[in-house]
Amino acid sequence: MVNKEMEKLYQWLKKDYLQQKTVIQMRELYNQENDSNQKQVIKQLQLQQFFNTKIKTVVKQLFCLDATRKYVPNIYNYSFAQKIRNVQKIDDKSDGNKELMNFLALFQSEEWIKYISFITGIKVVNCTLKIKSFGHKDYSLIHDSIEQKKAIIVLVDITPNWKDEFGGYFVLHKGEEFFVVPSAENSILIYERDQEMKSFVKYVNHHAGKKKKIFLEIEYEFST
Amino acid sequence: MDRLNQWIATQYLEEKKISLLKRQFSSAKPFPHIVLQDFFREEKANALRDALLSIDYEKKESDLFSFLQSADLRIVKNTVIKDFVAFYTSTEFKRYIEYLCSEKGIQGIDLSGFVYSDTDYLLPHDDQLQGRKIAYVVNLSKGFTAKDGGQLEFFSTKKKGKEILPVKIVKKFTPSYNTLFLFKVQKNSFHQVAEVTSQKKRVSIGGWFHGKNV
Repeated sequence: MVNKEMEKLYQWLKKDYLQQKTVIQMRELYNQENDSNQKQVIKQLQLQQFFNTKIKTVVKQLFCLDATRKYVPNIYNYSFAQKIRNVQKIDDKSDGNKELMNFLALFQSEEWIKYISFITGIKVVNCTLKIKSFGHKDYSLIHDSIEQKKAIIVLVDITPNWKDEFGGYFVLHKGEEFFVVPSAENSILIYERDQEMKSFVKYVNHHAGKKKKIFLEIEYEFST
Repeated sequence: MDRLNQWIATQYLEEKKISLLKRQFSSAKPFPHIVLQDFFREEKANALRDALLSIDYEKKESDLFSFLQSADLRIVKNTVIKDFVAFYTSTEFKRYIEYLCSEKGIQGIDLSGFVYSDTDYLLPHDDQLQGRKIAYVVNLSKGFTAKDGGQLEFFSTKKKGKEILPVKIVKKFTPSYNTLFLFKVQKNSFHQVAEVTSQKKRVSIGGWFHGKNV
């Protein structure tokens, strides 16, 4: 599955994550059963130290993006950079965002989509990319009005020096099961979302000071 | 009346005062509410606070909140708290609340102790659940100022289709010792407890007076 024509992946991912043996192992981990030989209630896989050193420039550019506030007090309170179906629509006024644009283009590339489809065993197609920023007093809540379509979600955490004692961590909830996603700089989380699954971002408390947690949320539709 | 006399400060038992408070409650914005400072007799409030600080609490965390909550105070064995519960759930006090809040047929009451410490909070919600009529907070926090956080905050609302959504904070109440808050639970009664941002403890008893079907 992995070959040297996959330029975009080699541009950004650490080589370890491109080794065929590793990718097969990731697929097995994602699809593993629990101790009772049943499929996991929340199918997810978190991968640490995922991107290579090029990510450092991207991180700086992400923290400089203009953001719009989204505030509906009983649903969410956070800053939102862009909702992107086509990465060409991102504000590219300055060359300073070039690396960021290239990075975002990775998630819409054929190579990446094949990569994700292989790991999850689900053929995915179009994607929507959101860049979300959570600082002090920010949060998102579980709310019935939020409609959840079936999708594969990739969550990219790029925030340096974030401590979970500040809050701002992502939580998946389905039935009786909760999965708290530990904050980890340069990590991705891949998970399968269905209509029953809920998620929230824990309230960010005052110990965060002026720090912000930024992550990319990329939603992939199932191919029909 | 004996129970009421034992617990409630004299001014809040005067007929004229209660009638005035009744009107104030009904006309308050953004939804009916009243703030009754120095509500309990001082010795009762002091003993109640000490009792609350001596019982056990459990940490409660979710997307919506983070705080310490006690067991239902109706089953707590502490004698001061038992005495308070006997008063608070008495027919006389229920009738008092019914009159003050223009509410009929109050039956059950929820009672829990809450302690909010550094970083604890309760995010915006409207309290609407079947049977809940009047929400209350007995605040027994000492020494809080605005910079300590922990304020009870009320939201204005707007209509979006059939839904009513909170918009922005329009009233804030800094935790104040020996204060009883009462507000009507209704579609627009959105409120929150702001994050506590100091080492002080926001100590309270909270819950709801219920109507039928509880």
